[in-house]
Amino acid sequence: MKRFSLFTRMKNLLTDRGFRKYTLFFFACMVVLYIFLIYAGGMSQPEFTYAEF
Amino acid sequence: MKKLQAFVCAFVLFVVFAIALNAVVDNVDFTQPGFSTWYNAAKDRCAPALSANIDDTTMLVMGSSEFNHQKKSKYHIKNMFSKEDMDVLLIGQPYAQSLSHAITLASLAPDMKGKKKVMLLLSPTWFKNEGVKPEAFASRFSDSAYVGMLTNTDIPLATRQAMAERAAELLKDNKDLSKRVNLYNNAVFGKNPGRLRLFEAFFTGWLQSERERSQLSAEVKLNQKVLKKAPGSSQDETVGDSDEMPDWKTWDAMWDEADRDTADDHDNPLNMDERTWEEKFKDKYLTSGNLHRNTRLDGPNEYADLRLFLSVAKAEKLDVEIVILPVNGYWYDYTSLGKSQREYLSDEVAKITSEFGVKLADLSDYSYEPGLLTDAVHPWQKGWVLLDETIFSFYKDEEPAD
Repeated sequence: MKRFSLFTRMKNLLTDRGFRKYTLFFFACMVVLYIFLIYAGGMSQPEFTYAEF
Repeated sequence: MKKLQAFVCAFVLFVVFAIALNAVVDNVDFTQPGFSTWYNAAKDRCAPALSANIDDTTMLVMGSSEFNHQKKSKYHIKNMFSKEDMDVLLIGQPYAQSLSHAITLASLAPDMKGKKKVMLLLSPTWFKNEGVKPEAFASRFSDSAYVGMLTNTDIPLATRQAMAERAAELLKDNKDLSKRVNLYNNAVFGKNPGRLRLFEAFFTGWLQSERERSQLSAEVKLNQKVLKKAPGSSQDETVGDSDEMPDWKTWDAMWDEADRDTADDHDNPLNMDERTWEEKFKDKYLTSGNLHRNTRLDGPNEYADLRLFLSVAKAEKLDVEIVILPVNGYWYDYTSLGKSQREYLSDEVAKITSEFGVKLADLSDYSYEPGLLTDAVHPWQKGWVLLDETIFSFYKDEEPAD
Protein backbone atom coordinates (compact mmCIF):
# COMPACT_ATOMS: atom_id res chain seq x y z
CA MET A 1 0.00 0.00 0.00
CA LYS A 2 2.83 2.34 0.91
CA ARG A 3 4.46 1.80 -2.49
CA PHE A 4 1.18 2.34 -4.19
CA SER A 5 0.69 5.62 -2.37
CA LEU A 6 4.22 6.67 -3.43
CA PHE A 7 3.34 6.11 -7.09
CA THR A 8 0.11 8.01 -6.57
CA ARG A 9 1.99 10.95 -5.06
CA MET A 10 4.48 10.95 -7.90
CA LYS A 11 1.69 10.81 -10.44
CA ASN A 12 -0.08 13.71 -8.74
CA LEU A 13 3.16 15.68 -8.71
CA LEU A 14 3.97 15.09 -12.37
CA THR A 15 0.49 15.98 -13.45
CA ASP A 16 0.55 19.15 -11.39
CA ARG A 17 0.89 22.04 -13.77
CA GLY A 18 2.64 24.23 -11.24
CA PHE A 19 5.23 21.56 -10.52
CA ARG A 20 5.99 21.11 -14.22
CA LYS A 21 6.27 24.86 -14.69
CA TYR A 22 8.79 25.24 -11.84
CA THR A 23 10.74 22.17 -12.93
CA LEU A 24 11.05 23.49 -16.46
CA PHE A 25 12.04 26.92 -15.21
CA PHE A 26 14.77 25.60 -12.88
CA PHE A 27 16.03 23.18 -15.54
CA ALA A 28 16.25 25.96 -18.15
CA CYS A 29 18.15 28.19 -15.69
CA MET A 30 20.63 25.41 -14.97
CA VAL A 31 21.20 24.66 -18.64
CA VAL A 32 21.67 28.34 -19.52
CA LEU A 33 24.08 28.84 -16.63
CA TYR A 34 26.04 25.72 -17.57
CA ILE A 35 26.33 26.69 -21.22
CA PHE A 36 27.30 30.23 -20.26
CA LEU A 37 30.00 28.98 -17.87
CA ILE A 38 31.43 26.64 -20.48
CA TYR A 39 31.28 28.87 -23.54
CA ALA A 40 31.34 32.48 -22.30
CA GLY A 41 35.12 32.86 -22.21
CA GLY A 42 35.47 31.86 -25.82
CA MET A 43 33.50 34.87 -27.01
CA SER A 44 35.67 37.53 -25.42
CA GLN A 45 37.77 39.75 -27.66
CA PRO A 46 39.88 42.74 -26.73
CA GLU A 47 38.13 46.01 -27.33
CA PHE A 48 40.67 47.62 -29.55
CA THR A 49 41.70 47.32 -33.16
CA TYR A 50 44.81 45.39 -33.83
CA ALA A 51 47.67 46.47 -35.98
CA GLU A 52 46.19 46.65 -39.44
CA PHE A 53 47.61 50.12 -39.42
CA MET B 1 7.62 22.32 -0.79
CA LYS B 2 6.46 22.05 -4.39
CA LYS B 3 9.25 24.42 -5.50
CA LEU B 4 11.85 22.42 -3.63
CA GLN B 5 10.64 19.20 -5.22
CA ALA B 6 10.67 20.92 -8.63
CA PHE B 7 14.23 22.08 -8.01
CA VAL B 8 15.40 18.58 -7.11
CA CYS B 9 13.66 17.13 -10.16
CA ALA B 10 15.19 19.82 -12.38
CA PHE B 11 18.62 19.06 -10.97
CA VAL B 12 18.28 15.35 -11.74
CA LEU B 13 17.23 16.21 -15.30
CA PHE B 14 20.17 18.61 -15.59
CA VAL B 15 22.66 15.94 -14.49
CA VAL B 16 21.30 13.59 -17.17
CA PHE B 17 21.54 16.43 -19.72
CA ALA B 18 25.16 17.24 -18.74
CA ILE B 19 26.21 13.60 -18.97
CA ALA B 20 24.58 13.26 -22.40
CA LEU B 21 26.16 16.50 -23.61
CA ASN B 22 29.61 15.42 -22.47
CA ALA B 23 29.16 12.07 -24.19
CA VAL B 24 28.51 13.94 -27.44
CA VAL B 25 31.46 16.29 -26.84
CA ASP B 26 33.81 13.38 -26.23
CA ASN B 27 32.99 12.08 -29.70
CA VAL B 28 34.67 15.01 -31.43
CA ASP B 29 37.80 14.12 -33.34
CA PHE B 30 40.57 16.66 -32.82
CA THR B 31 42.91 14.89 -35.24
CA GLN B 32 40.79 15.03 -38.37
CA PRO B 33 42.69 16.02 -41.54
CA GLY B 34 42.10 19.78 -41.64
CA PHE B 35 42.55 20.40 -37.92
CA SER B 36 46.27 21.14 -37.72
CA THR B 37 46.09 23.99 -40.23
CA TRP B 38 42.69 25.26 -39.12
CA TYR B 39 42.59 28.91 -38.12
CA ASN B 40 40.59 29.01 -34.90
CA ALA B 41 41.03 30.69 -31.51
CA ALA B 42 39.46 27.86 -29.50
CA LYS B 43 41.85 25.39 -31.12
CA ASP B 44 44.88 27.45 -30.11
CA ARG B 45 43.64 27.61 -26.52
CA CYS B 46 43.20 23.87 -26.09
CA ALA B 47 46.65 22.46 -25.38
CA PRO B 48 45.50 18.80 -25.24
CA ALA B 49 43.94 19.11 -28.71
CA LEU B 50 47.13 20.66 -30.08
CA SER B 51 49.19 17.89 -28.48
CA ALA B 52 47.01 15.27 -30.12
CA ASN B 53 48.09 16.65 -33.51
CA ILE B 54 51.81 16.33 -32.88
CA ASP B 55 53.41 13.22 -34.27
CA ASP B 56 56.89 12.30 -35.46
CA THR B 57 56.79 14.49 -38.57
CA THR B 58 55.05 17.56 -37.15
CA MET B 59 56.67 20.97 -37.07
CA LEU B 60 55.12 23.83 -35.14
CA VAL B 61 54.65 27.10 -36.98
CA MET B 62 53.64 29.84 -34.57
CA GLY B 63 52.55 33.27 -35.66
CA SER B 64 49.54 35.54 -35.50
CA SER B 65 46.97 37.12 -37.79
CA GLU B 66 48.77 36.33 -41.05
CA PHE B 67 47.21 32.83 -41.00
CA ASN B 68 43.79 34.42 -41.43
CA HIS B 69 44.66 36.13 -44.70
CA GLN B 70 44.20 34.67 -48.15
CA LYS B 71 42.85 31.41 -46.68
CA LYS B 72 41.10 30.61 -49.95
CA SER B 73 44.19 31.23 -52.03
CA LYS B 74 46.12 28.30 -53.45
CA TYR B 75 49.25 30.01 -52.10
CA HIS B 76 48.12 29.88 -48.46
CA ILE B 77 50.19 27.34 -46.57
CA LYS B 78 47.19 25.20 -45.69
CA ASN B 79 46.29 24.81 -49.37
CA MET B 80 49.81 24.58 -50.74
CA PHE B 81 50.96 21.39 -49.06
CA SER B 82 49.45 18.05 -48.25
CA LYS B 83 50.34 16.54 -44.91
CA GLU B 84 52.66 14.10 -46.67
CA ASP B 85 54.63 16.99 -48.20
CA MET B 86 54.88 19.04 -45.04
CA ASP B 87 53.23 18.29 -41.71
CA VAL B 88 52.76 21.58 -39.85
CA LEU B 89 50.69 22.57 -36.86
CA LEU B 90 49.72 26.22 -37.25
CA ILE B 91 49.23 28.13 -34.02
CA GLY B 92 48.42 31.81 -34.24
CA GLN B 93 45.74 34.43 -33.80
CA PRO B 94 45.68 38.23 -33.66
CA TYR B 95 47.37 39.32 -30.42
CA ALA B 96 49.27 36.03 -29.99
CA GLN B 97 52.83 37.19 -29.39
CA SER B 98 56.12 35.88 -28.03
CA LEU B 99 54.98 35.31 -24.45
CA SER B 100 51.81 33.36 -25.21
CA HIS B 101 53.76 31.29 -27.75
CA ALA B 102 56.49 30.65 -25.16
CA ILE B 103 53.87 29.32 -22.77
CA THR B 104 52.19 27.19 -25.43
CA LEU B 105 55.53 25.84 -26.62
CA ALA B 106 56.49 24.91 -23.06
CA SER B 107 53.28 22.89 -22.71
CA LEU B 108 53.60 21.14 -26.10
CA ALA B 109 57.33 20.53 -26.28
CA PRO B 110 57.29 17.25 -24.29
CA ASP B 111 55.15 15.77 -27.09
CA MET B 112 57.61 16.81 -29.80
CA LYS B 113 59.67 13.67 -29.91
CA GLY B 114 60.14 13.31 -33.65
CA LYS B 115 60.70 16.45 -35.71
CA LYS B 116 61.60 18.78 -32.79
CA LYS B 117 61.38 21.91 -34.94
CA VAL B 118 59.53 25.14 -34.36
CA MET B 119 59.29 28.28 -36.45
CA LEU B 120 58.17 31.60 -35.02
CA LEU B 121 56.83 34.20 -37.43
CA LEU B 122 57.63 37.54 -35.76
CA SER B 123 55.61 40.54 -36.77
CA PRO B 124 57.42 43.84 -36.15
CA THR B 125 54.12 45.18 -34.81
CA TRP B 126 54.59 42.96 -31.75
CA PHE B 127 57.47 45.21 -30.71
CA LYS B 128 55.54 48.46 -30.70
CA ASN B 129 56.16 50.40 -27.50
CA GLU B 130 55.42 48.23 -24.46
CA GLY B 131 55.02 44.99 -26.42
CA VAL B 132 51.98 42.82 -25.84
CA LYS B 133 49.05 44.71 -24.34
CA PRO B 134 47.44 43.22 -21.19
CA GLU B 135 44.02 42.85 -22.84
CA ALA B 136 45.63 41.20 -25.84
CA PHE B 137 47.53 38.71 -23.69
CA ALA B 138 44.38 37.98 -21.69
CA SER B 139 42.40 37.26 -24.86
CA ARG B 140 44.88 34.55 -25.87
CA PHE B 141 45.42 33.09 -22.42
CA SER B 142 45.02 29.34 -22.14
CA ASP B 143 44.75 27.66 -18.75
CA SER B 144 45.68 24.25 -20.13
CA ALA B 145 48.82 25.64 -21.79
CA TYR B 146 49.71 27.69 -18.72
CA VAL B 147 49.43 24.75 -16.37
CA GLY B 148 51.34 22.62 -18.87
CA MET B 149 54.14 25.19 -18.83
CA LEU B 150 54.26 25.43 -15.04
CA THR B 151 54.45 21.67 -14.63
CA ASN B 152 57.00 21.00 -17.39
CA THR B 153 60.10 20.24 -15.35
CA ASP B 154 62.29 20.12 -18.49
CA ILE B 155 62.11 23.93 -18.38
CA PRO B 156 64.42 25.45 -15.75
CA LEU B 157 62.59 26.78 -12.72
CA ALA B 158 63.92 30.29 -13.30
CA THR B 159 62.46 30.38 -16.84
CA ARG B 160 59.09 29.14 -15.65
CA GLN B 161 59.09 31.69 -12.85
CA ALA B 162 59.97 34.46 -15.29
CA MET B 163 57.03 33.50 -17.51
CA ALA B 164 54.76 33.27 -14.48
CA GLU B 165 55.80 36.72 -13.22
CA ARG B 166 55.30 38.23 -16.65
CA ALA B 167 51.85 36.62 -16.95
CA ALA B 168 50.85 37.77 -13.48
CA GLU B 169 51.95 41.32 -14.26
CA LEU B 170 50.02 41.44 -17.54
CA LEU B 171 46.88 39.96 -16.01
CA LYS B 172 46.86 41.93 -12.76
CA ASP B 173 43.86 44.03 -13.81
CA ASN B 174 41.84 41.04 -15.05
CA LYS B 175 40.13 39.78 -11.90
CA ASP B 176 39.25 36.26 -13.05
CA LEU B 177 42.47 35.42 -14.86
CA SER B 178 44.61 37.02 -12.19
CA LYS B 179 42.96 34.88 -9.50
CA ARG B 180 43.53 31.68 -11.48
CA VAL B 181 47.12 32.51 -12.44
CA ASN B 182 48.00 33.33 -8.84
CA LEU B 183 46.36 30.10 -7.71
CA TYR B 184 48.41 28.05 -10.19
CA ASN B 185 51.61 29.98 -9.43
CA ASN B 186 51.24 29.48 -5.68
CA ALA B 187 50.56 25.78 -6.12
CA VAL B 188 53.77 25.30 -8.12
CA PHE B 189 56.13 27.89 -6.65
CA GLY B 190 54.66 28.53 -3.21
CA LYS B 191 56.67 27.32 -0.23
CA ASN B 192 53.80 25.72 1.70
CA PRO B 193 50.69 25.92 -0.46
CA GLY B 194 48.66 23.54 1.70
CA ARG B 195 46.49 20.60 0.57
CA LEU B 196 43.36 22.67 0.17
CA ARG B 197 45.09 25.17 -2.09
CA LEU B 198 46.67 22.39 -4.10
CA PHE B 199 43.30 20.75 -4.55
CA GLU B 200 41.73 24.06 -5.54
CA ALA B 201 44.47 24.68 -8.11
CA PHE B 202 44.15 21.16 -9.51
CA PHE B 203 40.37 21.34 -9.70
CA THR B 204 40.38 24.81 -11.26
CA GLY B 205 42.94 23.73 -13.85
CA TRP B 206 40.91 20.66 -14.69
CA LEU B 207 37.64 22.62 -14.93
CA GLN B 208 39.16 25.27 -17.20
CA SER B 209 40.74 22.60 -19.38
CA GLU B 210 37.32 20.93 -19.74
CA ARG B 211 35.85 24.30 -20.59
CA GLU B 212 38.44 24.86 -23.31
CA ARG B 213 37.76 21.39 -24.69
CA SER B 214 34.00 21.93 -24.73
CA GLN B 215 34.37 25.26 -26.51
CA LEU B 216 36.64 23.68 -29.08
CA SER B 217 34.28 20.76 -29.57
CA ALA B 218 31.42 23.15 -30.28
CA GLU B 219 33.60 25.00 -32.79
CA VAL B 220 34.61 21.76 -34.51
CA LYS B 221 30.98 20.73 -34.84
CA LEU B 222 30.04 24.12 -36.28
CA ASN B 223 32.92 24.08 -38.79
CA GLN B 224 32.76 20.58 -40.20
CA LYS B 225 32.49 21.93 -43.74
CA VAL B 226 35.80 23.78 -43.40
CA LEU B 227 37.56 20.92 -41.65
CA LYS B 228 36.50 18.29 -44.15
CA LYS B 229 38.71 19.95 -46.77
CA ALA B 230 42.00 18.18 -46.29
CA PRO B 231 45.25 20.17 -46.34
CA GLY B 232 46.66 20.63 -49.80
CA SER B 233 43.29 21.15 -51.47
CA SER B 234 43.13 24.35 -53.45
CA GLN B 235 40.13 26.43 -52.56
CA ASP B 236 40.98 29.42 -54.67
CA GLU B 237 37.97 30.52 -56.68
CA THR B 238 39.47 33.63 -58.14
CA VAL B 239 42.92 32.90 -59.41
CA GLY B 240 42.91 31.48 -62.90
CA ASP B 241 40.80 28.71 -64.30
CA SER B 242 43.07 25.81 -63.54
CA ASP B 243 42.24 23.37 -60.78
CA GLU B 244 45.76 22.03 -60.74
CA MET B 245 47.80 22.22 -57.59
CA PRO B 246 50.60 24.77 -57.81
CA ASP B 247 54.00 23.31 -58.47
CA TRP B 248 55.60 24.34 -55.23
CA LYS B 249 58.84 22.65 -56.13
CA THR B 250 59.79 25.59 -58.36
CA TRP B 251 59.63 28.62 -56.16
CA ASP B 252 60.73 31.12 -58.80
CA ALA B 253 57.91 29.98 -61.06
CA MET B 254 55.46 30.24 -58.16
CA TRP B 255 56.67 33.75 -57.38
CA ASP B 256 56.28 34.83 -61.02
CA GLU B 257 52.83 33.29 -61.18
CA ALA B 258 51.71 35.06 -57.98
CA ASP B 259 53.16 38.30 -59.34
CA ARG B 260 51.16 37.94 -62.57
CA ASP B 261 48.01 37.10 -60.61
CA THR B 262 48.09 40.39 -58.72
CA ALA B 263 49.88 42.65 -61.23
CA ASP B 264 46.83 44.81 -61.95
CA ASP B 265 45.57 45.02 -58.38
CA HIS B 266 47.98 47.28 -56.54
CA ASP B 267 48.11 50.58 -58.41
CA ASN B 268 48.11 52.86 -55.34
CA PRO B 269 50.72 54.79 -53.33
CA LEU B 270 51.17 51.91 -50.90
CA ASN B 271 51.39 49.11 -53.49
CA MET B 272 48.88 47.05 -51.54
CA ASP B 273 45.75 45.22 -52.57
CA GLU B 274 43.55 47.74 -54.36
CA ARG B 275 40.40 46.73 -52.51
CA THR B 276 42.05 47.16 -49.12
CA TRP B 277 43.43 50.52 -50.23
CA GLU B 278 39.96 51.70 -51.27
CA GLU B 279 38.16 50.37 -48.20
CA LYS B 280 40.59 51.04 -45.38
CA PHE B 281 43.53 53.26 -46.30
CA LYS B 282 42.55 55.75 -48.96
CA ASP B 283 40.43 57.97 -46.70
CA LYS B 284 42.91 58.06 -43.87
CA TYR B 285 46.02 58.33 -46.05
CA LEU B 286 46.35 62.10 -46.19
CA THR B 287 45.92 62.54 -42.44
CA SER B 288 48.13 59.66 -41.31
CA GLY B 289 51.53 61.22 -41.79
CA ASN B 290 52.22 61.29 -38.06
CA LEU B 291 50.24 58.22 -37.08
CA HIS B 292 53.30 56.38 -35.78
CA ARG B 293 55.32 59.42 -34.79
CA ASN B 294 55.39 58.26 -31.17
CA THR B 295 55.68 54.58 -31.91
CA ARG B 296 58.97 52.98 -31.02
CA LEU B 297 60.32 49.49 -31.58
CA ASP B 298 62.97 49.59 -28.85
CA GLY B 299 60.88 48.88 -25.74
CA PRO B 300 62.37 45.99 -23.75
CA ASN B 301 59.33 43.81 -23.11
CA GLU B 302 58.80 41.96 -26.36
CA TYR B 303 62.54 41.30 -26.74
CA ALA B 304 62.54 39.83 -23.24
CA ASP B 305 59.50 37.70 -24.13
CA LEU B 306 61.32 36.49 -27.25
CA ARG B 307 64.21 35.46 -25.03
CA LEU B 308 61.78 33.46 -22.90
CA PHE B 309 60.51 31.70 -26.03
CA LEU B 310 64.03 30.81 -27.05
CA SER B 311 64.88 29.71 -23.51
CA VAL B 312 62.01 27.24 -23.63
CA ALA B 313 63.15 25.95 -27.03
CA LYS B 314 66.72 25.61 -25.78
CA ALA B 315 65.67 23.68 -22.68
CA GLU B 316 63.69 21.29 -24.88
CA LYS B 317 66.53 21.03 -27.45
CA LEU B 318 64.32 22.21 -30.28
CA ASP B 319 65.57 23.42 -33.61
CA VAL B 320 64.26 26.95 -34.06
CA GLU B 321 64.00 29.43 -36.88
CA ILE B 322 62.83 32.97 -36.22
CA VAL B 323 61.30 34.74 -39.22
CA ILE B 324 60.97 38.52 -39.21
CA LEU B 325 57.94 39.22 -41.36
CA PRO B 326 58.03 42.06 -43.86
CA VAL B 327 55.80 45.08 -43.37
CA ASN B 328 54.57 47.62 -45.88
CA GLY B 329 57.59 49.91 -46.04
CA TYR B 330 55.69 52.55 -48.02
CA TRP B 331 53.04 52.83 -45.29
CA TYR B 332 55.38 52.87 -42.33
CA ASP B 333 57.79 55.33 -43.91
CA TYR B 334 54.84 57.61 -44.63
CA THR B 335 53.44 57.30 -41.08
CA SER B 336 56.79 58.04 -39.44
CA LEU B 337 57.81 54.57 -38.35
CA GLY B 338 60.82 54.71 -40.61
CA LYS B 339 63.38 52.26 -41.85
CA SER B 340 65.92 53.06 -39.16
CA GLN B 341 63.51 51.92 -36.43
CA ARG B 342 62.74 48.73 -38.31
CA GLU B 343 66.45 48.13 -38.85
CA TYR B 344 66.95 48.51 -35.10
CA LEU B 345 64.46 45.67 -34.59
CA SER B 346 66.23 43.49 -37.15
CA ASP B 347 69.58 44.11 -35.47
CA GLU B 348 68.27 43.37 -31.99
CA VAL B 349 66.55 40.17 -33.06
CA ALA B 350 69.71 39.13 -34.90
CA LYS B 351 71.69 39.63 -31.67
CA ILE B 352 69.20 37.53 -29.71
CA THR B 353 69.11 34.69 -32.24
CA SER B 354 72.89 34.69 -32.38
CA GLU B 355 73.03 34.55 -28.58
CA PHE B 356 70.80 31.47 -28.60
CA GLY B 357 72.42 29.93 -31.67
CA VAL B 358 69.19 29.70 -33.68
CA LYS B 359 68.43 30.44 -37.32
CA LEU B 360 67.06 33.76 -38.45
CA ALA B 361 65.27 34.60 -41.70
CA ASP B 362 64.91 38.36 -41.91
CA LEU B 363 62.35 39.04 -44.64
CA SER B 364 62.28 42.79 -43.99
CA ASP B 365 64.22 43.32 -47.24
CA TYR B 366 60.91 42.57 -48.97
CA SER B 367 59.15 45.48 -47.27
CA TYR B 368 59.14 47.49 -50.50
CA GLU B 369 58.13 44.63 -52.79
CA PRO B 370 55.01 45.72 -54.68
CA GLY B 371 52.08 43.37 -54.29
CA LEU B 372 53.64 41.43 -51.41
CA LEU B 373 51.15 42.48 -48.74
CA THR B 374 47.42 43.11 -48.81
CA ASP B 375 47.67 45.91 -46.26
CA ALA B 376 50.26 47.20 -43.79
CA VAL B 377 51.32 43.79 -42.53
CA HIS B 378 49.48 40.79 -43.97
CA PRO B 379 50.71 38.53 -46.77
CA TRP B 380 49.16 38.57 -50.21
CA GLN B 381 49.80 36.02 -52.93
CA LYS B 382 53.53 36.69 -53.33
CA GLY B 383 53.78 37.11 -49.58
CA TRP B 384 52.49 33.61 -49.09
CA VAL B 385 54.85 32.18 -51.70
CA LEU B 386 57.71 33.79 -49.79
CA LEU B 387 56.50 32.38 -46.47
CA ASP B 388 55.80 28.95 -47.93
CA GLU B 389 59.33 28.69 -49.29
CA THR B 390 60.83 29.87 -46.00
CA ILE B 391 58.78 27.43 -43.95
CA PHE B 392 59.27 24.52 -46.34
CA SER B 393 63.03 25.09 -46.53
CA PHE B 394 63.31 24.94 -42.76
CA TYR B 395 61.12 21.87 -42.59
CA LYS B 396 63.29 20.09 -45.14
CA ASP B 397 66.61 21.53 -43.89
CA GLU B 398 67.22 23.17 -47.24
CA GLU B 399 68.49 26.66 -47.98
CA PRO B 400 65.88 28.87 -49.67
CA ALA B 401 66.77 30.08 -53.17
CA ASP B 402 67.87 33.72 -53.37
